[in-house]
Amino acid sequence: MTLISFFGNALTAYGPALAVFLLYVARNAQLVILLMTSAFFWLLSILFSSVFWYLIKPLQNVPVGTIFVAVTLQELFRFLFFKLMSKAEKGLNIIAKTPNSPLNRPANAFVTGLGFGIMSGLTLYLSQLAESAGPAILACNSCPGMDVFFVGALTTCLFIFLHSVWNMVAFDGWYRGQWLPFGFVMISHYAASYGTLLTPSSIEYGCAIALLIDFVILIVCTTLAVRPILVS
Amino acid sequence: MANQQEDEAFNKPAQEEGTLGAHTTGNGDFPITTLCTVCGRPARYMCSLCGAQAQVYYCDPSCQTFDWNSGHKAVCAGMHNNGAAAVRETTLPNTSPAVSSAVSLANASSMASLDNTGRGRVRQRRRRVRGRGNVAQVINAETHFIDRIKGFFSRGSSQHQSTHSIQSIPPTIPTPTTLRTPDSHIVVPPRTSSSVENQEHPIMEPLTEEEKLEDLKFYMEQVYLIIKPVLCCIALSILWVKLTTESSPNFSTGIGETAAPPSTVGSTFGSDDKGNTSAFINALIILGQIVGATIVVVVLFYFNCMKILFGFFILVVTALLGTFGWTLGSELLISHNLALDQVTFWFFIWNMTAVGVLMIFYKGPLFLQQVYLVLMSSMMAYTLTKLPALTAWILLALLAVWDLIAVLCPFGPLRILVETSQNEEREIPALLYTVMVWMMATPGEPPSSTRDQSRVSDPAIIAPAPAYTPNARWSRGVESAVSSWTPLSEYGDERHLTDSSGQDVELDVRNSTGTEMIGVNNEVARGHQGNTPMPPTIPAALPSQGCRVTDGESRAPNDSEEEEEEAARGGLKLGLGDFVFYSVLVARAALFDWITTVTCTVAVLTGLNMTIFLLALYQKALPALPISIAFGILFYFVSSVTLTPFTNELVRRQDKIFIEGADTWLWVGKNGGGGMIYV
Repeated sequence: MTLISFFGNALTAYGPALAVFLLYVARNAQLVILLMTSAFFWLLSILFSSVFWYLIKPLQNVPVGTIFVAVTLQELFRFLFFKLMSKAEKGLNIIAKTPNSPLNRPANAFVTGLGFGIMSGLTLYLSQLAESAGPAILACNSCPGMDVFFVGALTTCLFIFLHSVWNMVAFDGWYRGQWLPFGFVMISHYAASYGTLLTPSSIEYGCAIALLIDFVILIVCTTLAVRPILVS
Repeated sequence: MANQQEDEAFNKPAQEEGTLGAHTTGNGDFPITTLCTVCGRPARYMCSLCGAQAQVYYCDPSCQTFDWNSGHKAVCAGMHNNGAAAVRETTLPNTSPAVSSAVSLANASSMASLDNTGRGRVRQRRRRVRGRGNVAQVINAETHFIDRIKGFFSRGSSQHQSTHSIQSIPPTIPTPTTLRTPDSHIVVPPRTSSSVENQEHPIMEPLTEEEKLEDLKFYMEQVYLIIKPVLCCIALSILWVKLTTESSPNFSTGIGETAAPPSTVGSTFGSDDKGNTSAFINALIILGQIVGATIVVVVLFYFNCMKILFGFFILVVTALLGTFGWTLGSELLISHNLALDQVTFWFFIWNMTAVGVLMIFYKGPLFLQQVYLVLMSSMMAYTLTKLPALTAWILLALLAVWDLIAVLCPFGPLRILVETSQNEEREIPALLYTVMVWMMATPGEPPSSTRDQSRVSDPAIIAPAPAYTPNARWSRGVESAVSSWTPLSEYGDERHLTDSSGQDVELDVRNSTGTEMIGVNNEVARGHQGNTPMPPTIPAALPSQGCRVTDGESRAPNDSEEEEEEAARGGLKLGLGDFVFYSVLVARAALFDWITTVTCTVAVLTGLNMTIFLLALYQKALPALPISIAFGILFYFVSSVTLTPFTNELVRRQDKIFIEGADTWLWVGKNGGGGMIYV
């Protein structure tokens, strides 16, 4: 059972992202390097938030505050990464396979977002995944029929792609000089993260609600991210 | 059809070019009896800046280089006429017209793209001057790192514009790299005078924007290719660590061991019992051994004792594979409580070692060699994690410092080794690379024209690149010329270009000594240049099939895959030492928990990326450890102290109490649930 749950959780959490990585990103050296760079940026953001969390003692037992700090810093680093990308963009475009393709921007934004997502998925879920290989399960507080690890896997999977589309939406807005899309990204990130507070809560079907919130945000953001591409 | 277009593309920029410089000479009919001003032999080239007025001729590029350095620079007419100095040579028209026209065609089209932007031209001229000098000049010219980075981007941007604009003119020929229709250039008749001016000798060929781009692309591919084996090695080391430390009791009290004892700074440093001084001394002793081994290797190489060196390496590799294989194997058996009789075990180890030694030192598919080298590095890294934590961290930090010293200091052993091989034009044998501890990388450059667009789209092409020096630049020019008239299939084999499997990054394992660097390792650099640049002359080097000018030895183009492998070995090289110590760092982090493992892996890879980026900028041997190790150590401690408790806090669990005597946690509370908060 332990191995089964381990592989099940692992593939649930990382399978889709892994497929995208292997089938799309890994075939292009430039995209791989972009992904690694963005992963590094996300790592920086989470390290900063954890340092804040560590230094500010009152924060440590208040998940609401923790989420606020972490999400804010992640979005800040998204912006910083955008700054870096826009500096390097011209160079990136010429060395791209298709230098003049209008799809370069969205593609790069998607891949760097995937880097954010994969890194966050690995950092936040990997140790639980390792634990899920153990003989016991831990019931989810809000949905006693569910296993914490599996709910975590679903959440991770959704968040990986949420990061991708958030990146696309935010970058697209910034490229056009608008901050509104980024504002939306920020709000939806808060919403998605605060939504997951329902999972450990005692609200009935809290985990389902949390997952539903994430899923709806994913759909809305995907629409927002894809529409400019289709329109242009 | 294609010929016509290319001809037009050629003539147009050529004429523009002719009106631009001070070198409108009209030297269409020089007698070949003109003598070289330096050595007196029949001359074939002239200083294109002076033009005919100065009456300065040279027999070959090395003479011109010599003359330039010894004073012609001061009197060169072109220098005075143009604010921005441009130095060129012009091939006289009666020397192998097909070749020179091919060369000029390549040049011309790159000009074409630049002529559209005034800025591009100025910059190009500037670069041309640099191309004239030696490596040091190139480096000195752009001392400031920041400037170089900015330059990188701004060059890119101006190229961007020109790429756009050129595309509106001859849509089929945006870059020289597309000029590869096999025969078209052979039939091009000798040029008229205006185009002759264009026929610079490739040694003078500037680092055009196009080439810069090619270099960038090349490095990108290289980064990717080098990351794969590094990642494999790291993953293997993590696997060994996780497999052998599976000792945690199956029935612990519940969730994660990592959650249990609050980690303190002290515990992450591993300074539990032993004093710091002893750890430091231990690390120093190990470092001393590494330094000693490095120095021995360098001394042996310096005095050309190759056989002793190889014997030494064979011994070391055998010992390493055997002992590490034995250590790892027995650890795995013990930790999984498996029984295996001695005879079988020894048989297995013996086979693995023997095959490995044969593979590495005698002959074997490149892929298998690399598998062995990765395996050996990961086993070595695993063994090194047996060191006490504090010793290991101190050792890693010291190694980074030692790496800096060895590669960058004037008397650093690795630097001496590189310089020796360059000065004496003695190639560091591939075997030596394979077994030495440090590694050299070709900060090689993509022969810009060896890949056409369609090839570029192949993700993992590597071209073994000539070094980034004027002469290599030159040979690259030749290559571009060659490639423009040699059928792809013919020359494709040789410098080339492996498929997308990515296995072709050479792992240069220099064995146990343990220092690492990325160096300029280039056959071309060594063969033709050293300190005195002397590129081969074009006419001699360009028989229709002798594309392999760069090696100074002509190889049949259609050789077997050995050629391919050899070419693959020419790429960016990362030494065994780097593999080992990257893996040591990550494996050490893996002993703590998964989060530190992930952060350290990303940190090390990012450090590697940065190092290769610097390599692309500086084009010289660079130590590969310091950035990665610094990142790795920093990230390890930050994440183990703050990130691990942070993420643990995000998983809500039941309330728990710690029972002092029992050293364990107890879950308390009515409901048994938890949940994960995802930020």
